[in-house]
Amino acid sequence: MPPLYPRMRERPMEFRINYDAPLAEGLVFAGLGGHGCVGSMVYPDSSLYANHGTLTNMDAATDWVWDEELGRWVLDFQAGAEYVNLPVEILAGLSAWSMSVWAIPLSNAQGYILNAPHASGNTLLQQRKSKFQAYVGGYATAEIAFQYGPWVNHVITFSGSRFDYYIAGVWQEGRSATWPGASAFGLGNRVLSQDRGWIGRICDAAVFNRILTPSEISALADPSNVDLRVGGVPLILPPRRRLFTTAVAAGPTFNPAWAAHCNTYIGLGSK
Amino acid sequence: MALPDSLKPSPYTSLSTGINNQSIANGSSYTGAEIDNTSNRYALCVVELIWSYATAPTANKTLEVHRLRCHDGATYEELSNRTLIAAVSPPADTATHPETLVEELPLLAAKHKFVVKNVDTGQAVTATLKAYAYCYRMED
Repeated sequence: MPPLYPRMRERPMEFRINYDAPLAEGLVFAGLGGHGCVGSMVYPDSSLYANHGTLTNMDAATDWVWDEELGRWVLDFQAGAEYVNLPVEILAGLSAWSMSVWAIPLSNAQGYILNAPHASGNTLLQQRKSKFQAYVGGYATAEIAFQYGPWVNHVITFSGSRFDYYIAGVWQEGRSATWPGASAFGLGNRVLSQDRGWIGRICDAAVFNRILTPSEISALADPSNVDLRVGGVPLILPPRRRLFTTAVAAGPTFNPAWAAHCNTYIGLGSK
Repeated sequence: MALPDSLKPSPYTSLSTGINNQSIANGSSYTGAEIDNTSNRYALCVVELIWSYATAPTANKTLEVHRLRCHDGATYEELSNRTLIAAVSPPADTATHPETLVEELPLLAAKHKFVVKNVDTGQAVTATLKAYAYCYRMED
């Protein structure tokens, strides 16, 4: 029998969210591309909340870039005043959360990768020269050195009283912290003043209203995991389509009634 | 008799979106005609937007295309982020641009309307929205 969920090698422009997937639980923002985003100023949210972001001070024609390594469309940031403005509603009411993002720095300048400003300071994730740093509330991890060049997945989890920072699925540091909320939210710059423009590429920004499990963090850190599967169940599915199991059709005693019984829809969803 | 063994898309059926060379002012939207899919029950459709400007728009702004659904035959959902199916950023020129936005938009056996929204391009746009319905079927 063919696999129930054939593995995706490249992320298609049109896809559906599999609400039975482990990563669909608590998914409140899914900046996974798609929805015809390439060439548009919309940074689409594939979650149920549809809190689409807006490319700001960016160029729709050139800032969406296909990345062969990740098999996905990614956003290219060239510092200055460029950023993606995300609706702050994404963070509303969150007491515990996790954020995941793929990033590849293309310089060693300082810049903000994820930012959710508050008077108490929520840089969230920044590059400081050749080091990364996570920063929640008024509390920061140490600056963590990295090899710049490869794509790296970053996950920050917040339990309500502590945040933990993972790079490439590996825990780096945790600190006690409080989450004061945020007045804005965005990618690629300091959102309110645009004076920490970052140079690099970002994709798959996602926010969850819970702490991700170790297996989920590990799965997100795999660059070949295009359909974001955990335990073999992908978060991303191709568009709804009627399939015919070829194993049945190729049988020596092909029975149309049995074949009709075996016809399956890949998921039933509203979008 | 040979049994059908190839899954193929059916030929297109053109749907009347009611958005033909429609002028849409900056900051405004235009809702097209009702498309009743309750009898034909096509499964999927292709959506194409063709636009032009008499005066070049501001670059890096947005035209949005939405699809509104009516499940009970009477009440359509409201225009919102959830109804967005695609967005384009028109280049700052006065040429005519055809663009296929979506190839596999799911269609339920319900009524639909498409909406084109000129979010912030700065100029009135002339837009035509085309939709072609199809299914997948087994054929020889």
